[in-house]
Amino acid sequence: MPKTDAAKDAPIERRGRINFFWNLARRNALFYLGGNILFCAGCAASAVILAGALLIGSSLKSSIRGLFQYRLGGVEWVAASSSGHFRESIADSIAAQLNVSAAPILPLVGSAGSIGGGGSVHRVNIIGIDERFFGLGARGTSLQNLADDSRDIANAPFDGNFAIVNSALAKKLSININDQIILRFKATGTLALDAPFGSRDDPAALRLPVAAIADSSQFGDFSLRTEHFTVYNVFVPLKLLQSANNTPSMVSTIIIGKSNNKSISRIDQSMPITDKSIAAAIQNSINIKDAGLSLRRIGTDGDFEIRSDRIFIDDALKAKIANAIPMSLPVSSWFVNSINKSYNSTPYSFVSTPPKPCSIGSNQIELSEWAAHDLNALIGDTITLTYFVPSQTSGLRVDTAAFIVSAIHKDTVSWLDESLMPPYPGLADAGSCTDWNPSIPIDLGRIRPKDEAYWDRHGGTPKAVIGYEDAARIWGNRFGVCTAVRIPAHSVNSISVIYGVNNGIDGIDDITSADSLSTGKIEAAITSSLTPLDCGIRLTNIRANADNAVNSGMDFAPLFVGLSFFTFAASLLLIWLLSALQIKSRANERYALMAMGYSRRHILQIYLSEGFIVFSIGTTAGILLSPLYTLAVISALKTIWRAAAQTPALNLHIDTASMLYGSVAAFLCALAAMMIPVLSATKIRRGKAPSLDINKKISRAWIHLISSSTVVVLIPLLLLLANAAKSRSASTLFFLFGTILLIAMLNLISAAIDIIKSNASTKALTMRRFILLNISREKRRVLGEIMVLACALYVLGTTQLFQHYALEGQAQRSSGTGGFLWYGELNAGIPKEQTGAAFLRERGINVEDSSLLPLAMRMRDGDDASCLNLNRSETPALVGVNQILLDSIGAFSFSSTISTADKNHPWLILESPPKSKNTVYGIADANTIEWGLGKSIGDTLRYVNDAGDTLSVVLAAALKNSIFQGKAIIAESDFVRHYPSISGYRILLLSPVSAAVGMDSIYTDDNAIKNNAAINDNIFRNNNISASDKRIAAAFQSFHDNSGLQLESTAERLNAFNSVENTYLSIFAVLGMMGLMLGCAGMGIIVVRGIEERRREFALLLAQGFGVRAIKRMLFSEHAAIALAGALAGLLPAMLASGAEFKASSVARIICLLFIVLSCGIGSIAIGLWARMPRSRDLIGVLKEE
Amino acid sequence: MICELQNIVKEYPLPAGGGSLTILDGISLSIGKGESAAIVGPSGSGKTTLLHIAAGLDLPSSGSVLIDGSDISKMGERDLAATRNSKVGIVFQQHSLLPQCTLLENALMPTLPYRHKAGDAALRKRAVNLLERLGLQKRLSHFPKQLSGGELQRAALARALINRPIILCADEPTGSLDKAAALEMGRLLREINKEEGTALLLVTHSEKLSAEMDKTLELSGGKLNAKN
Repeated sequence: MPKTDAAKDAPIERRGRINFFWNLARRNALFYLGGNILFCAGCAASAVILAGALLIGSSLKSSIRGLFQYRLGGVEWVAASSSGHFRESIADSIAAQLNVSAAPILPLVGSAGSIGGGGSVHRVNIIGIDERFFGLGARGTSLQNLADDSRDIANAPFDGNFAIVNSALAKKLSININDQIILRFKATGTLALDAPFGSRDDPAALRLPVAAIADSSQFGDFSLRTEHFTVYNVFVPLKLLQSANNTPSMVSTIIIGKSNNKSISRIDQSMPITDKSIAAAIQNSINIKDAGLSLRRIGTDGDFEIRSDRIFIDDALKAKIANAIPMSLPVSSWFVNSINKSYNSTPYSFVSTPPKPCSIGSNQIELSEWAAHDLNALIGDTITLTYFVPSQTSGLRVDTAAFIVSAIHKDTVSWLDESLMPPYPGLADAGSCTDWNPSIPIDLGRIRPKDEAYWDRHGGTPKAVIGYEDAARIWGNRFGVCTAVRIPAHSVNSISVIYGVNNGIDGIDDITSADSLSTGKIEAAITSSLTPLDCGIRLTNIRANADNAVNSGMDFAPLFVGLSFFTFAASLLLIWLLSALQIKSRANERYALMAMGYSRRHILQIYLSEGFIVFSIGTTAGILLSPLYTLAVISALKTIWRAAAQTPALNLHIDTASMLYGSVAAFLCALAAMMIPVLSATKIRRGKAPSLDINKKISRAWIHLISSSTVVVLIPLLLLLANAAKSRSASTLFFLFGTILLIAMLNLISAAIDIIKSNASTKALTMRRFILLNISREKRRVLGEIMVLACALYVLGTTQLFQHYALEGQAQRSSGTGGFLWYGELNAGIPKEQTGAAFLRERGINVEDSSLLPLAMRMRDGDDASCLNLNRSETPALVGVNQILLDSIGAFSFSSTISTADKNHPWLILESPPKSKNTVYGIADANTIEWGLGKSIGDTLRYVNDAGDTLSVVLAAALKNSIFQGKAIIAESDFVRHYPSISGYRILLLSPVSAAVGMDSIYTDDNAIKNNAAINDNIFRNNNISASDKRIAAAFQSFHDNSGLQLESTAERLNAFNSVENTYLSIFAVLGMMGLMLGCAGMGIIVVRGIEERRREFALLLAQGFGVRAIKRMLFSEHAAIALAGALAGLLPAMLASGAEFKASSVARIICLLFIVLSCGIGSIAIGLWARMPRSRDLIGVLKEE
Repeated sequence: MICELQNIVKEYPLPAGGGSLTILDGISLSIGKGESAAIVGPSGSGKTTLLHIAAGLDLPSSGSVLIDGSDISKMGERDLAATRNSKVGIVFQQHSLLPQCTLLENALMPTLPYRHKAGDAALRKRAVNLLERLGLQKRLSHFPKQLSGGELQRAALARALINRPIILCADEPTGSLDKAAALEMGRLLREINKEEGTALLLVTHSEKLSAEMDKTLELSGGKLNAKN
């Protein structure tokens, strides 16, 4: 209907032919203003949806990039050791060689607590820094910024006792400047927990005043992890932390940035700093100390001895030394529980291999005179040694070995002396036997007075000697058996050294002393054979890693495009419907143009030009509105949808390209949607009568009906298969199959309409049939109407059906919790014996072994590859598990495995023999594999093991929606084999115990535990867990609080992961609601337009005796039937597509949803009818016109 | 011959497998320059269909339609449209003017899709002259909704004549007009037919109008017969 008077427009005829189409289009755009406003709105909606989705993606990416910029500051490279420490002076050396900024840091992980009840925070980064650190901060960052706030820093930077905390931690702990903070961390300078005689010391603690609070602009959020989660940092003076960590002058990381030094010459500036040049600088800087080695001169012979600060020199390093100094001799000294001959036994003695070239035969032992006398042993007697060795996975096992006495040495043998005793903690520093405090279990009651006397006189001098090959055979373990390497004094002259960079080796420059010269030669010889990897130092281009993580990370643009897919489709369908209505109302105009000789192309040009103008306006509106839409979504992502993005650091970044791409795509789609009815309407029908007779038409309709039904049945089956296969494309398949299902439903309804139409003349006409015939009259329009509603309901239906709730079935072993009730991670590893019921019993808590199932796991830190992390992870945290235990209890469910896995015992795939030495099988959560890692079953993750080799973890099975999201799981035996430096257990899973333990019998000191605020927060808040189970968990948390144990309910942990998916579904639902609104609006418009079109028909009905109410009822029935068909067409595919996940509990939600949709649809029909239905006298007027 | 229809057949399918309904059954007709012919017949006999086929708006199931010697039934859509534009003028029972355009613009509408030797100014002059000749000189800038039925139909006639067609096809041109307007319309049609030599083929129920044509043909039962 004409809406405006175009009389004032410039005359069309005065313009040229080219302008004609534009002018006519402009005139038409104004003439059909009402309809075109709706077109504009539809196009604007689709442009907002598309451009907004892309804008969200680019905003998120830019935000994360900005976040990393703040966190990395000017850091470009990181040289870090995962297994040890190296000299901080390497930083100076690198800086001097390359004119770059380099700062040594000592990053540790621990807990931070405030004095005064502010609680504690676990997994805090405790970072030892000096003044060089802030030089690498982002531009404008300097120590001076912080010093302004703190006199301590200003007066004595990094020499005093103070801490700088980042603002996130300060907020979390509610602390201010000058408050006291307590830091607890496991010292990394001590011997590995799992190593023989490994340290079991309590975590170190520091109590420091807070000197400053650094925000992100002040480098306070420094982090080398490519994650966007909130970081909690405490910066401590490097010297102070080195001292507390027992690693004076040593660090584990050097951060390197490009130099800001303006004084660098042009030539220097032109030299690019590359990974290679930095690696070369590190190579030039290392020496034996960086490999943990030290050199000393011993004994009267003046031999040299190389020792390791890790006690054991691993085989690779031993081989390097042997290569550099062929005359060197490895030595192994072991603390044995007893040396036995028949019933005679000498307790707790050292047995060594000879430090001099000496031919001891296999299975032969040479005893000291003291030992031979004590055991009453003679040459030829059989002697057995009883000793502890590390077991394959954890703890120590007692083993024995038998030897034949081949010699008895005088106690005066020069080389059999105390220097052979390694510096075992608790032994080497003990004044007497009663002072012994080794980490292995010993019975001091077995020590006799003569043992005390021996210790007083000879210390740890070995009492027996065996061959090195025998020692390696019986004591062999993942930490090594070599405790020292001896170098005969006379061999030093034969060492050839290439003198170049002295690498800071003492003695090279000091040739005044022959001793120093020899020491220098040996160190130089070994150093020349060392590489940074031998010292555990790996160089990483952290900037490239961060860029890569951002670029390959979770892209919200396609995600939101995907989530908006059906809403976008609904908006296009609406445009299509409007176009179909308009094209029909303009049939006369079109026919007149044809009569005037306008070809189809001309007519299409006119409509296209019109669409171009209208949709340009719509698109422009969409471009203007898309930032607002993006802002709204970002605001939701920071608040109610926080689980999806997991970061508050989100800001709107206007990306013109994104807006342009989205808008142009929306414009073209809208134009296409509009042109489809136009193309159809302007189609020239040839003169011949259609050859297809009506019977064939009916047959074709039935074929459509049957084929569509088949598709509707087949697609869910395919989805089930895809779900079972859990392939990477499962989500793509969901959209694909969903679309196919919707189309099949549409085809089904189309066929049904055809059948109704075809039977028109053969069936008696009833009111119901009349309504059906009315519906079938405008088939395409009806189908469009149905499709708009179906799209919306499909989205809403699937979002309801796919929601995950971990609390359902959490106690079952096959569930995502594995049937465990508690999950906890620790900052530092704890021994296995501290993870069970016996540990609690030792502390006075009455818990039976049978009533508590603890599962302790090892863990190597890595990136968080769970769905909580937006960035793609390359090396997720690696977990070592006891696969036999997990298999025996049937814990967790698997969504897929490799073909060689036993389907009934998928955990045992971890036991399968590796394909090669450094390849093992691994398991990960299916979501982690697909989304976090971007991989699939059979793909490989690559790590670097302690030896510096690449460890390939082949993903052999995928866990179904489990608490292990974000981690890769391997067998514990493989874990300890590749990571001997990582000690203890850092993940604890606890099973329910309430059924077996009486609540009151658990505690002796209940109040002490309940007074711990952190424990109360984490454990007692969950109302679904019994009190006794909570108290068991609280006991564990209390006893391991210093190790940073933070227990959480497995259901809550799983829900946290599920919340991401559920949040996506919520977003999907909101977008679905938008689609529903569009659908309802479309339905209302169609009702109104339909009434306009059918005024003559209604008038005729009136003339035939129908009342207006009867006509309204008929119209209402028509549209209600369409709304119902739309609802079913959407709901049925939704239920079929999510068939695998369908739960009975979803039925109520679906019914509710159906009710809402029908209410909205029918409401819009009613409003349309009420607004536009002509009154009786109007219809009589129409009759008069006729 | 300006327009020659040879053995035209037009069929429509019947529902429920009832075969097809033959509307035009082997009709032949020819009109020369300056000739006029009226087609009469009962409602539903296929008069409009025949006219549309002759004008190239519809295509026959079989048979040929020659306009100025060219068989338009074998033409592609683009050539057919060009032929309609340059050689055929069509007037409908309803004026079918574009409501968003003025009378002058409507009259000029057929000149726009194709290039003309005459420039824009010459075409405009012709349109103005035509409208003046049809008594619409004061209505040039008026929109269709501001005009009476007779005026609208005259404007439609001007539009049909703007490209100097060799044949004018009119489908009940006086059907929606009152008696005076119908008389005026009939007069104009004859005048143009005689003065400009434009062949005239019209469908009408008006015996008076048909009687004024050179020949009157009655369409009945799919056959065309001359009427005395």
